[in-house]
Amino acid sequence: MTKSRKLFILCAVVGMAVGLLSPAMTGGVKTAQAQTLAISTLVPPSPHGAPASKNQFGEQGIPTATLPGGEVRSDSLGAAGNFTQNPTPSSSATANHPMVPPYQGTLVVRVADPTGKRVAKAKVILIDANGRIVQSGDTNGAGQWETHISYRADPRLSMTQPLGTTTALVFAKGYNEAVVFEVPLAPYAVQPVTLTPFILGRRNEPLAALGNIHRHTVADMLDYYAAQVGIARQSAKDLPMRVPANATTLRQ
Amino acid sequence: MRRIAPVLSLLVSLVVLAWSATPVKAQPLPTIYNTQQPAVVRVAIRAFNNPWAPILWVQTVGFQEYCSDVLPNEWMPSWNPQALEAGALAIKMFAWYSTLHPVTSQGFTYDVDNTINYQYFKYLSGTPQTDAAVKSIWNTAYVPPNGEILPLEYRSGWHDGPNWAFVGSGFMSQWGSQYLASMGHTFLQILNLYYPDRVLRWVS
Repeated sequence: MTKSRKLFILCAVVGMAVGLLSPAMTGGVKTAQAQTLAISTLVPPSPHGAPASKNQFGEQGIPTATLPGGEVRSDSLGAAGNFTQNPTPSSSATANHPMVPPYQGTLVVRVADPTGKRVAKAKVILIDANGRIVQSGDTNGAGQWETHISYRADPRLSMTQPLGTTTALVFAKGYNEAVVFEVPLAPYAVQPVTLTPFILGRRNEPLAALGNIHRHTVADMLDYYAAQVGIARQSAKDLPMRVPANATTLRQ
Repeated sequence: MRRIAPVLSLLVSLVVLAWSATPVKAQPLPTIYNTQQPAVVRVAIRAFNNPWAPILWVQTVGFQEYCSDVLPNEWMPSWNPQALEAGALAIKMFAWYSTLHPVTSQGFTYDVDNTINYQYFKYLSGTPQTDAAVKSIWNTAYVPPNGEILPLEYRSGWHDGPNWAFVGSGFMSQWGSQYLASMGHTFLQILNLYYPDRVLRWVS
């Protein structure tokens, strides 16, 4: 065996050993960490300092429902589905699992018709961001359904206080159905819904509406994201005396 | 005869002038002393609370119920109770004034609409905190010393300060009211800052 052939075999053996060991030692883990970091940097930070827990993919605020009975649902499609992204955590790990919603709130859904009459026995269904039903119930004689719900802070809206969101579907006999998107969830949130009556001979299609997001929350959202690109809302500089003289023409 | 005619025509002219110049009986100034609080408010409902949207219908709601369904949308329900009470009184006076000055538009007659053209109203949106604030100020009015019913205007303002540009302007800052309340000011002190020429009066 020549000297050059010996050197070649030695290099090949060393190279194979390094190739086998490196994924387990450093390379694979570092790659996964880098990937997680890269994803998490895309998520806007929580501006109010609220806990910004992330799941194992580095994503923020993927909602998982914790029902009042303590049952925790993963964001998979469920037992019937063939797509399971995150397994349901074991009960011992529930308290610290990043998928457990950290905030508890009360949502009051009040249903009425255009005349102001409260709609009793309306069915309300709440859907999470993954399309799963998290809760449902019926309105009482006063047209009200109140429920306690766990939620994760939605970073888009949580500028001054942690707010979550859900989607509400409302069904009531004699009325057109309604879907209310982005219903805010807070320690105490109220979502009014006005159902239009079912009229024979009309098209009677469902109504889509936006949730009861507060004016100040909308303004804060604009301020927060405008500042990130170096612009500002002009109303921040408006003083009462600068309001145009024709500002009241809309009332006519 | 020729001399009498000009004098006669002058006299007739004077009589006609005097008759036409008789002062019209003026409407009394609406004050808290001669005007009852309204029982109801007629609210023009615009789609999605959009101030530019056409009017869908006019909803008649009780006066207190109207205020209870405006306050949580104008002030944030989680704010300091004193800020909420200042807001509740401003909302009440604005609505009271508006019921005395109804408008007709698009075939509807109404006192206010449900948008920021007037005050942001959402039926059935009251919360326990804001309902309590409305109730606590309900037997009061904040008016000039002569008791005239005038609106208390307000604007959003900005965070973390008393909003000095609004102080004494006759416009209350909503965020300013929250800041002042968190600094320990009462609702009356807050109102005094923004509306210096008004006084608190009891009404039934």
